[in-house]
Amino acid sequence: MNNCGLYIHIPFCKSKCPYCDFYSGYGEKEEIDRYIKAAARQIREEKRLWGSVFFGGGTPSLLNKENWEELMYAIGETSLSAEMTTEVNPGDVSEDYLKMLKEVGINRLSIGAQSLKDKLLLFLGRRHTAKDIHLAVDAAKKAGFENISLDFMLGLPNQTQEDIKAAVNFLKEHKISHASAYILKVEEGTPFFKNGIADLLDEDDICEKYLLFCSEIEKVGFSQYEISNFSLSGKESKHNLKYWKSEPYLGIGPGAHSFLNGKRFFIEPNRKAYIEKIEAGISPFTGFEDGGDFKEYAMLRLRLKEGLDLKTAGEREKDIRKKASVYIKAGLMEIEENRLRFTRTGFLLSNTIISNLIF
Amino acid sequence: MSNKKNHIRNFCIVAHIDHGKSTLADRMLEKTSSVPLREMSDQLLDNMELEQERGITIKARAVKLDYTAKDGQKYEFNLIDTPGHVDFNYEVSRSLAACEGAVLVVDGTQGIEAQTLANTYLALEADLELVPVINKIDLPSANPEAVGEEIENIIGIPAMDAPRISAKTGLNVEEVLERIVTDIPAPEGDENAPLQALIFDSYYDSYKGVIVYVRLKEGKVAPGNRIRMMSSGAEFTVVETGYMRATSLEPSAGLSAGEVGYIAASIKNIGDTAVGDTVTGADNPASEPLPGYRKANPMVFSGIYPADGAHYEDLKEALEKLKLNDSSLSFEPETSAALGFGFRCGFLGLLHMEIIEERLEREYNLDLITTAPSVIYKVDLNDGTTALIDNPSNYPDPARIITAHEPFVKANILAPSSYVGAIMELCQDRRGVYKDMKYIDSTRTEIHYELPLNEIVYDFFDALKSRTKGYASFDYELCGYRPSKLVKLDIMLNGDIVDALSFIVHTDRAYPRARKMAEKLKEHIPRQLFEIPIQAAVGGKIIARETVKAMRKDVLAKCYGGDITRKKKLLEKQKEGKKRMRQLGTVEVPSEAFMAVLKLDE
Repeated sequence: MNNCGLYIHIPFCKSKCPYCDFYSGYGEKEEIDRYIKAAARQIREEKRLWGSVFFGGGTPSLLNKENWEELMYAIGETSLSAEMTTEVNPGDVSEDYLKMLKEVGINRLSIGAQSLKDKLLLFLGRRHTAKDIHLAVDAAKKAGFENISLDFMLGLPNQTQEDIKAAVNFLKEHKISHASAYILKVEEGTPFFKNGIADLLDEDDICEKYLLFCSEIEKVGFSQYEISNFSLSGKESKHNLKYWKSEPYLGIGPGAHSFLNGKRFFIEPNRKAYIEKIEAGISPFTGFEDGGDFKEYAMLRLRLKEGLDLKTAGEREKDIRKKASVYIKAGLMEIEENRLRFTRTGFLLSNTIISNLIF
Repeated sequence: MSNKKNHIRNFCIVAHIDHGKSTLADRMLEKTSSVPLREMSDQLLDNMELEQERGITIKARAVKLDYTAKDGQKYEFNLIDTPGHVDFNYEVSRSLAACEGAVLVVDGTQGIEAQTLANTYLALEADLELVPVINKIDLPSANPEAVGEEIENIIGIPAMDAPRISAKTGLNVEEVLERIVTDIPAPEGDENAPLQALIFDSYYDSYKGVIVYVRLKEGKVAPGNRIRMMSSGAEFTVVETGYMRATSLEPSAGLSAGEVGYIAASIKNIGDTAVGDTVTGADNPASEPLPGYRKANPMVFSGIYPADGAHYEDLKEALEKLKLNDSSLSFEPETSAALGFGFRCGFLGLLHMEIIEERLEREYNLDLITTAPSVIYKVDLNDGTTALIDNPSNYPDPARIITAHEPFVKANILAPSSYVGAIMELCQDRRGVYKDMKYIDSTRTEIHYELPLNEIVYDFFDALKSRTKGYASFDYELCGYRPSKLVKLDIMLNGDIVDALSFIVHTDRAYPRARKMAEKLKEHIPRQLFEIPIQAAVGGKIIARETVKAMRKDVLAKCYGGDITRKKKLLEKQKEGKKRMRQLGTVEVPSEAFMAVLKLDE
């Protein structure tokens, strides 16, 4: 099996962003080195030919050349066309660093821009500036990266229409081929949650910003292919598509999730425990549950613009069609032959609607 | 054997809520060594979870205690614990019917309260010997002297030598036990006469069937005897008899006149036994049943529906079981367009209603939706008939109504004099008619009002408590029907009338009530995919309107780094949450909304 995706979690950050609820934290060099050794060992022991690789975090751009070589060596041979992505923080990356990434085999960058406005970056607790984003993109181009994605956040308090237009314009000017735009969600347990940031958010305003981003980005040749993902034709993220198409992927590192052989499982979000388990030769995977049933399949497919093929619904097709008719009438969904999909306003209500339709 | 009867004392304890009735019962259990100390817990007899939590007694409960008095003789005490609240008067009165005397507990810091009076009158009506006791004398603010005087002046029984006790510390509790021996008469009755046993409580045991708690007035009963329920005629063979001990049942060779105990007779059908019925012998039956006790008539009605329609049968079974030990609960099936199949239930009052709902939810694990409480209206129609309406949905077309009548109650409120103004304002606001006012002493006042029952069934007691910082006590009794200008108020969601939200209201109160209902509903109906107009109408005319804006955003932008399980669980939870919602046409209404609209005094 060579279509399995590999996700490698780098649970280290120089500073923790107040909205983030992914597992990461500060780590000394020795701990990072020890962690990379453990992760590399786990990858080696899987003995697989990977169909795509994604380094996420945390902050993978904190790793040094030795760390990268160790991981890439463990990953081993992949097909030439395999997508090898890493997330990077715009504040970390020099042209040399990016050249090194290119040399070790990375062929796609996901740059955590979030916003092009310093005020908003400050609000988000990012440690880079708008200028750093410009510099990072220029450096990436010079280092020879063609597949670049930028991450943005939408629905921030005081975010203007101009901010959104400027972000889209930036994509066009710098010939970026992929963008993700995430609506800010205040997760329980984060500093944003504790500080009551949720109260600053206005539902209508967020929706407006999201819809504006969607329509603006289309004007510069992008297509929306998922709720929060946009790309030029053929530049969709192959790795991320595996999540939404219920294809297999293995997640390495604390807090990472996997879907393999019909089972969903994960690794406890605890760096120390993870390292100790790997060093002792114990499998860190836990929480095995059956996955891939129709509910899950449909829930994920409906996140994609192409939507759900109703023929896959079997005996539930009739029921789903009937329920969907209300949403179609209200302009929240569309149906074309057997494909049921969300419109943009429908995407914004996708939780409620999916739960009504499928669950 | 007659000697034995002389050593029996059957009594109950009556008191206003929080005056220390259950604590005194605890001390009595201790002093008579009825419970090993390590098994002792506070308010032992209030073993219903709800009772412990609310600090009230809901169910009457009986226990047999062995007491060796100062005269050196051994006595058999049967303590029948009773509720204090007005709603549970029927529980009190059936306990009273099983006793010869009552210990009247009065809080030495508070003095006489509304329920003290209500319960005292019930005890006097039942011809019981009263033993007054002044409690809480360990508190610095206690004034036993003044309270004793109050008892003499208001109730009219000697109280200057009443035991002054602290049920909390146990101080002088022996004195109460001695008074029970000396002041309360031993039971009478002839054990050779035909059996007459009053059922004062019952419950269902999954092994033994229905177990009835009885007071034997005449005759005797033993395992193997054939018995007959005098009202239903059903006959059974006694399997077991015995006494109620504090923590378990204690089988006996039999029971005889004067005694309190239980009978188990493999009674499978709940309907065969009724509290208040008389048990007699099948072979040598008594000619007459015992007089029952004051039968309580339901005054407040409400629809109870399972939140999930699939649980209708469970609800029915639960109501039947509750009815077994709460004979005042009445119910019959009804259907609502909005809520599906459910029951129209009759209660003695609002607290009773709340308690039943909570017991259904806790003890039977049911999720319920209840409709606005209603009273019984009498409506004279133009065809010469009179309709009794306990459900707003059945309210006749105004064109057919000649006169509508609503029930009024005589309300008796005791409170510190400084709150008189606030209380009168509240009663006035609830269409009350002032009757009179009495000063009990220099600081406390008794106020009498006549109030429409429909004004007190919602939240009167809560409003009274909040206006008097909890110092007022309140009691009421029905005093008849009066003509009234009533209208039916309908609530429409998205243009459709929701029958379960309709209610009957006095014309003058319709507009403010409608506006508040609409506001409350807006607060409690979550945003949905489409905009929802909320309208309140009287006879087709809209008098209030609110709108729930359409929801625009409910999306997970990020998929938690491949953590699909989390997202799936989130959507499942959302779906689960929907089960608590009622689908009314295209609108989903959370169960809480139905209750929230009842609490309008905020």
